[in-house]
Amino acid sequence: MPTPPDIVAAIVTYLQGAMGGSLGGSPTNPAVWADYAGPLQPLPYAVVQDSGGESYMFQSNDAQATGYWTHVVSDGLILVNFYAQTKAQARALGIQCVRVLSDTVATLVCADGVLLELRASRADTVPQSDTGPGTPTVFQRVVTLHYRQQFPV
Amino acid sequence: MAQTLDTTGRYGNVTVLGVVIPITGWRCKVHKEFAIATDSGNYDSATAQLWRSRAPGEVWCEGSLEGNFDLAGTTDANFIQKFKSDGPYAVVLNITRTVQFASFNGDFDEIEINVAVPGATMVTFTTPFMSNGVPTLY
Repeated sequence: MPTPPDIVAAIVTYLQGAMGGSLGGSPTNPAVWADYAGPLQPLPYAVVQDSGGESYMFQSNDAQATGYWTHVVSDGLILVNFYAQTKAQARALGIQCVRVLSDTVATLVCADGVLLELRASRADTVPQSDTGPGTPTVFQRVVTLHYRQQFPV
Repeated sequence: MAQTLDTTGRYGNVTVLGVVIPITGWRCKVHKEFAIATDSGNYDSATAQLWRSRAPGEVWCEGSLEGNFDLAGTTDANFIQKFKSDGPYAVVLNITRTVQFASFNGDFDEIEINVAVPGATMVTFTTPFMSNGVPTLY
């Protein structure tokens, strides 16, 4: 399996394995999506988003080369959105995500940096009205995770 | 986890008598006390200066462990109950799951339980320690 290009792809791949059973995923319906799931997905499912807003810290260059900093430590937020038929199910999925998606238990490798830290910081329930004509009410739970990454690898 | 260039310390933990203790933090300061060993042999005639020499003396480490008070017994069994009897106890300070910082036999000099009203979210403890014997550093 090729190395995921970024942290969002790495989390999607990881959650498909770690929470695929709870989300009812299958090879044809992976149940965990990056950025956008498309309309009328069978519930429950998850969408992983990079919220942007990365901030950077720089270290001095240990190779004494010029023109770039050797080490950049970046901080950012990842949002994992769970969509479910009931509020209780969405909350349970969020709690499971907090437990399994952490640098303590998850070994995440991606091409664009070395993951130093990944921890959930909060979760919110977002009110959702009908998502389209004739569609059921959807309950959304958003788990916000803080990550710290160092690059280049 | 892949190889990292730096680490965050989120994996930090403490082992006391072979039992991993849930903590929220530890701090450790390693001391090395040198004796002044300057004598006439330190005189440099070319510069007409007397250079200071130092000889190694005591080495020890001290610090504190901090965590939330564990009513299930882990904290009580490993700090409160053992504090009543004499140590020292084997302590291992870990930076990550696999990287140790120091191991030593240590005495717990105090147990401080903190209850804050209002505003407390947890009952917390702080346990200062000092090594008793040779500390091993990694």
